[in-house]
Amino acid sequence: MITAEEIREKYVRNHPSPFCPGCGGGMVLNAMSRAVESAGIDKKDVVAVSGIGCAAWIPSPHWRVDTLHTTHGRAVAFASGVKIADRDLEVMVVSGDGDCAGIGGNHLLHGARNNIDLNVIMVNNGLYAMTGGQVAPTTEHDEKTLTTPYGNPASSFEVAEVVKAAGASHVARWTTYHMKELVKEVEKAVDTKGFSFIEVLAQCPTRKGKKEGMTGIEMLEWYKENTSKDQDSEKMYVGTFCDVERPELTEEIYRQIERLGGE
Amino acid sequence: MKIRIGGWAGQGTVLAGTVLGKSLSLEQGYHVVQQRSYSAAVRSGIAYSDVIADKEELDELVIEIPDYLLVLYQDTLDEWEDTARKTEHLIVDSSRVDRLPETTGEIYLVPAGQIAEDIATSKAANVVLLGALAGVSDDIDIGCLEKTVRKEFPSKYTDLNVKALESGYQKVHG
Amino acid sequence: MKDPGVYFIEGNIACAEAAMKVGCRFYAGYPITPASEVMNHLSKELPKVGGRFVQMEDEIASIASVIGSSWTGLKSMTATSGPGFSLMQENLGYAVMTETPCVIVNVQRAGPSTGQATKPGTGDVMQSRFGSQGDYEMIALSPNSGQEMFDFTVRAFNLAERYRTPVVLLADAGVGQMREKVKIPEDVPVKERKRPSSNETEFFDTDEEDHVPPMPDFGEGHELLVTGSTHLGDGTRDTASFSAQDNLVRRLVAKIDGNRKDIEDWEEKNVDGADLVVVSYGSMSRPARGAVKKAREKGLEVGFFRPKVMWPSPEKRLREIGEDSKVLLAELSLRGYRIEVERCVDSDKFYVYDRLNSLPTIDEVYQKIEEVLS
Repeated sequence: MITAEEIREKYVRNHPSPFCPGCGGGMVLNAMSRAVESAGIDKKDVVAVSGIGCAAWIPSPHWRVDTLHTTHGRAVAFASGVKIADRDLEVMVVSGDGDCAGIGGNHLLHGARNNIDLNVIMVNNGLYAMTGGQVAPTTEHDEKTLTTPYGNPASSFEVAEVVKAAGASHVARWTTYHMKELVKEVEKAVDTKGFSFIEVLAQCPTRKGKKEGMTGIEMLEWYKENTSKDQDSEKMYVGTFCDVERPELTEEIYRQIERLGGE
Repeated sequence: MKIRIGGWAGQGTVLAGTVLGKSLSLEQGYHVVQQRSYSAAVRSGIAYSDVIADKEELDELVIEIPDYLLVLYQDTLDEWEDTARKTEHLIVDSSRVDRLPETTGEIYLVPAGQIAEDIATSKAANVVLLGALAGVSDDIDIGCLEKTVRKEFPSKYTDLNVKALESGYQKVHG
Repeated sequence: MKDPGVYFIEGNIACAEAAMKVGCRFYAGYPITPASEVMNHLSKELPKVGGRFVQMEDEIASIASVIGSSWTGLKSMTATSGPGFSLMQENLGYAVMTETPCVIVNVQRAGPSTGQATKPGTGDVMQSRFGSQGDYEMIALSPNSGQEMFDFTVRAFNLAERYRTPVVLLADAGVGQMREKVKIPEDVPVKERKRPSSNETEFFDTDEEDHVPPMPDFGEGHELLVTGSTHLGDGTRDTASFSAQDNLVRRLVAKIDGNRKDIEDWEEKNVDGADLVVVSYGSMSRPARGAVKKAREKGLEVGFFRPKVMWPSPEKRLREIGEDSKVLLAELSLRGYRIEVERCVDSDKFYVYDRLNSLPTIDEVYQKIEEVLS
C-alpha cells in the first residue's frame, strides 16, 4: 500500500500552492493521483488538460504528469485533439463548473456525444471563484453572488444529467467529503472506454463559504448532511448516473484508418 | 480563348467546364484557369463555369465577353442577353432555348437536350454542347475532349458521354 | 493522396494534397464556404495515409484539437474562412504563446461578418497579423495560383516546424476555388521540429541564436508544463514577474522578426528605376501582373512587386521601392494590406486600386496605371 507521503512525492510537483486555506482543489488532486496509482497507469502516459479558473490550476502545475493548461472553456476540445492524435495517452480534463458547463458547455456536450475516451472531472464550487465569486450556471436560483446581489434570477442546471443525456458512457457525482468513493470513481473513469464525467462538489471557503458563514470543514459537513447515495432520497444524489457501453470516437476513427490500410 | 458555359444549377455546367478545362490543360497543353459560380441555393439559380485558355502564362482570370458562350437554359440566356449580343459564338441548346438575342456573331442551334435524350438521358446535354464547341472552334480538339471524357466519367457512363460528345461535334461540323 | 504528376485541380484540393505530402497527419475542421473543399478532400484521403481526421463542433474546437494533436508530435492543420478565422483568434494566440507548430488555412471571402460567402476578398490581412490579443509576430503566406496553394502549404508546414509557431496560409476564394494545372512532385522539402536531447528540461527558452527551443511530445516522460500563461523556461507559470514577461514575449517576437531573412519571400520584376511599381498579392496579383505587362508593352516604366510572405512584411524592400517610385497597391479589399504599404511609402506617391466582390480584368487595372502615370 502506497503511503500518502509516497503519493505526494510521486504525483505532486513541489510548487507553492496557490489555493486558499480549506480549498477543495488539493483533495481533487489527491483523488486523481490515487486513482491513477491504483489503476496501474504509467503516469508517463497521463496528459492532464485544463482551461481557466481555480480548478484549471489543480493539475497545472501541481500534477506531476504532462499538462496542457489551455484557454477558458476549451479543455475538452484540446483534450480531444490529444486523444485522437495518440490513443495510447490517458487524457484527464480538470475543469471548473464555469469553465466546463458555462463557456465550455458546447464542447462538453459534443465530447459526451462523441463519447470520446476522456476523463473529465468537473470541480463544482457553484460560482466563478478566481474572478471574485460571480454567478455560474451551477448557482442555485435566488442565490446571492457578486453579480446577483438581489438573488440569482436564472436557474442552475444538472450538468451530470445533461452529460448523461448527451451520450457519455460514464457519469457520476461525488463531493470532496466522499474521498474514498471519489478515488474509486476516477479509477473507474480511467478504466472506461468512453467519455467519463465526474462532477465533484468542492468547497470554496473564500468565495462561497464566507458569504454562507461556513468554514471549509463546515462545508464538508454540509456535503455529508445534504447528500444521499439513495436516488429516491430528497437530498442531492451522489453516486453513478450511468455506466454504459457505446461506440467510442477515437476507436472508431482508428478502425476506419486500419480498414483503409492507413496503418 | 474565353469560354463560358451557363445554365441552371443541376445541369452540369461546372462539370462541363471541368472536362473542357482538363482537356485544354492536360491534353492540349494550354495554360488554363477554370472557375465556377453558382448561387448559394444549391439546386436553383443560374450556374456557370468559365474557362480561359492561353498559350502564354495566364494572368487574366475574368471573362468579360466570352469568345464562346454555351447556354443550356432560356432564363440564363435572358439574364445574359447583353453578353450574348456581344459574343462571337453563341452555342445554345435549342431544345430548351427558343428566344434568341440579336447578335452580330454566329449562332449555333444544337438541340442538345433532345440529342442527349435520344442517346440515353437529357442530363448529357452539357456534353453534347461541348462536342458542338469543338466543332465550332479549331483550337479545341475533339480527340482530346474524348480522351478526357473517358478519364472523367465512371466507366458505365463513358460510352454514352462519348456518343453525346460526338453527336454535338457532328451537328455543327458534319 | 495523389501520385506525383500533373493535375487540373482546385487550389483547395492542391492545399490538401500538399498537406499530406509534407506529412500532415491530423486535421480538425468545421464546414465553411469557400474553404470546405480542403476538409472534404482530407476526410476521404487523410485516413488512407494513416492520418486522423475529425470534424469538430466549431472552429474554436477545431484549432484547439489541432494544438492538442501537435503536442503528441503530429503535424496538424485546420482550414477555414473569415467567420471561423475570427473564432480561432484566441487559440491562435495560445499556439503562439505555447510555441505549438500548426498550420491554419484561411481561404478569405468577402466580409465583414457573414459578407458574401462565395466571393473573394482579402480583408483579413491585418487580422492574420494582429487578430489575437497581446504582442506577437505571425507568419502568413499568400498564394496566387493553384501551384502556389500546393507549394506554400508545404512551406507553411516547414516554417511552422522550423520556428515552432502557428503559420497562416492566407489564401482567398479566388485561388482556393479556381482550377489550374498543379504539379505534384515526387518529393517536397520536409522540415521537422527541433527535438530535445535526453537531458534537456528547458522547452520554453533557449540561448540558441534562432530563439527556437526544442519541443518534446506528450508521453515521453518530460512531465511537461504547457501553458498560455506567461511562463519560465521549464514551463512554470509566472503571472507576475517582470523578467518572465519580458524574456518570453521579447523572444517570441524576436523568433520571427530576427529570422526575417529566412522567412521573407517576394516576386519582383522591373522594379528598379520604374516610374510606378504595382504592389499586389493573392488572386488580385494575377490581373495586376497582367496589367503591368500590358503597360510595359505600351512603353510605360512600370514594375511589379508581390509579397509571397505577407507577415513578416517585406518592409525594407517596400521602403526602398517607395523612395524611388510611385506605388500602386492593388488589392481585393479596402483595408487589407493598405496600412502596411502606406506606412512604407510617401503619401504623395501612394495610390490604391481597391476592389470588392470579384476580380477585375487586366484592362481595369491597366486603366488605373495609366491614370496614375498621366
